[in-house]
Amino acid sequence: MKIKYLVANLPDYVEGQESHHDYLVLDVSEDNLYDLITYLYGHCNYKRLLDLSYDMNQDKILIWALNLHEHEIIGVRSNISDTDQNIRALGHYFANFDSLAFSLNKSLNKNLIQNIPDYYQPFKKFVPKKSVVANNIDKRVEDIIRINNHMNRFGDIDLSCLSVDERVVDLDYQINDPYYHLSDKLKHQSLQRIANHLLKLDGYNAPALSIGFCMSVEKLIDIDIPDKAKAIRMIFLEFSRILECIEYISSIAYSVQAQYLYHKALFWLQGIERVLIYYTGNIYHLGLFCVGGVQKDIQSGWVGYCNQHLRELRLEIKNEFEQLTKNSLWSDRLVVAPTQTKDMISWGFAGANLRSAGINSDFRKRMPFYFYDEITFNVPVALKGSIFDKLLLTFLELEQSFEIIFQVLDNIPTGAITHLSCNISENIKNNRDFELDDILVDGYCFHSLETFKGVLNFSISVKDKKVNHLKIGNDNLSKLNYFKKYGIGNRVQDIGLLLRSLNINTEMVEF
Amino acid sequence: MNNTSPEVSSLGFKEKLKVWSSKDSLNPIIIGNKNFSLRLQSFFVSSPMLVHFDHTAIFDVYSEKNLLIIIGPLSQVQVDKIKRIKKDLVHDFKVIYLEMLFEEKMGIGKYQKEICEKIDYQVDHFLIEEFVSLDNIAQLLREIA
Repeated sequence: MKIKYLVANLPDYVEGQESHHDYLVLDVSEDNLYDLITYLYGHCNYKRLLDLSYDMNQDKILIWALNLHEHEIIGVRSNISDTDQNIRALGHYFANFDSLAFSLNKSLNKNLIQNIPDYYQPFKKFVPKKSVVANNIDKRVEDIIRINNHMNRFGDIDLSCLSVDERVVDLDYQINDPYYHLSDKLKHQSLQRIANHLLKLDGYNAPALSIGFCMSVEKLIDIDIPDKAKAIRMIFLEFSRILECIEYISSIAYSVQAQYLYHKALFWLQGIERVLIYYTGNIYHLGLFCVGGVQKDIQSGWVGYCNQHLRELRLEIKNEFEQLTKNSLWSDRLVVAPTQTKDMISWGFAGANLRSAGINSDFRKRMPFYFYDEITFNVPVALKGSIFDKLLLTFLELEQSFEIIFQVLDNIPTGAITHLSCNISENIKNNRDFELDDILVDGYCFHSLETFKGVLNFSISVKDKKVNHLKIGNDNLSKLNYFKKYGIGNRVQDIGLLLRSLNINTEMVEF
Repeated sequence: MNNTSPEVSSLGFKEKLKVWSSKDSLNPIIIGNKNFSLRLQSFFVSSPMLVHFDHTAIFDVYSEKNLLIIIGPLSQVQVDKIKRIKKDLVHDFKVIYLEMLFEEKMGIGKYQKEICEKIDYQVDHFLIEEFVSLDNIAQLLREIA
């Protein structure tokens, strides 16, 4: 369904419509909220709930949904009352609604959407003998198993399973990472400080966080960054995708005790990091990304160095991929937990997880930004969504990311790297008191960026030229709850593998 | 024991143990932030600068660890885990505490004391900075080794 058709056939109870940068936002009263979502879900194919966010300036909640056929994003804006909230009924359509609502509450530090289950409940103390609880449930129950292997080798997450005949019958998780209160910490900070701090989070995905933030601010203040900056950002986005892919391969290899591939993947990671350090001078790429472009130009010699190293690495990875596909051990061991496409959409999965289940969905292709529409690349898709499918897909995605980087490197535009209004040194010449934050305008902005792990949704509220609220919506909590539901029935030995295959970053979960 | 030369592997158990105890390679166990730990691991494995690392032993659950790398900030569960690890480690070991700060912190000395009390360890080296780089860690490890 084209958005024009939707606009022409809006129900009468829609109070207003507004073009919010690239997306359409519909205003509706709380009483008609459920009806409108039903209409969008049933008639217009908006079947994937992207995120829930809060516009502080207007004191309203926004529900963002995606149409998977046309790849169009729509926002529904409504106020919600303190009592008698019927917004929770949306959980009927979207399985990830509760997880997203919980994250929104936590990021705002208040109970905006009520009656949401508390997803953070630490385990009770571990009793290593046969527990009374287990005995009461079923005589055949072995015990409550606290899985204590590779999954918590860094101490990030713990699992507890109840098993009957080696099959999991009940499952729970506990997040061990400390909660960073990200939105509180970044509140009222300067733009450059936020862009730098985001580089600390989410490991190899950090450049995507920082770039996503800059993109959303640029959208808010309505500036178009120079072509060269676009190309450099694209290169870094693809690099972070490559690093994420390799990390994923390493975690799967570790889970099945394939030490050789695990070691190899760690070498690859380090090799790619060296190429990036040559460019930025530090492992976090500090100070590279800024609102309005990038701050560091490509140094002479880097393009050649990068080309040479990446081509060598690509060949090595390709050989490894051939070995992997020839060896039946991998396919036998990893055909675990095939998934239904419908469930994946309902739980708001994105990126490689969704593509592994047969849906050709890639924001780079379907909603292209920067120069993605001018570049030739394929979107690999697998069919069954099993862990083996995901692993093969990861290798194929790597290949495509290399291809994108080579094409961008061959065609790097010339010119400035920062937008004139954001160029600090130029602006200080004219006005000594200039600060980058001066360019901010009050308002709200939503931006969605797809990464290898999943989709990142940036919601920014700006008030008095300061970032009043920043929420980075992600699907990590939804994935954990999906795992809690669909992990049941799998073999106990496969549980660790299943969790790692979902690529969850507990550091980003709000709890 | 990993990475043993042919001469060492031909020795008896007691001799092997002696060789092991006099060995100066570091065999770390890492706890804390997953993303940073992974970066650290890939750095250990592939860095030619670190000659003191028993590379294969890093991932071996059964090998005796002699270095504990803690990546802060820690949650209560992680603190409990560290205490449990302490019980498991029989031999002498060193402790390094790394933390990246979100904001400038005053009174780092007091903060370090608090951490030691919290985890009930005497931390040998602290590295608490706004951005902890892998080179800083490598330098620290070279000093220890």
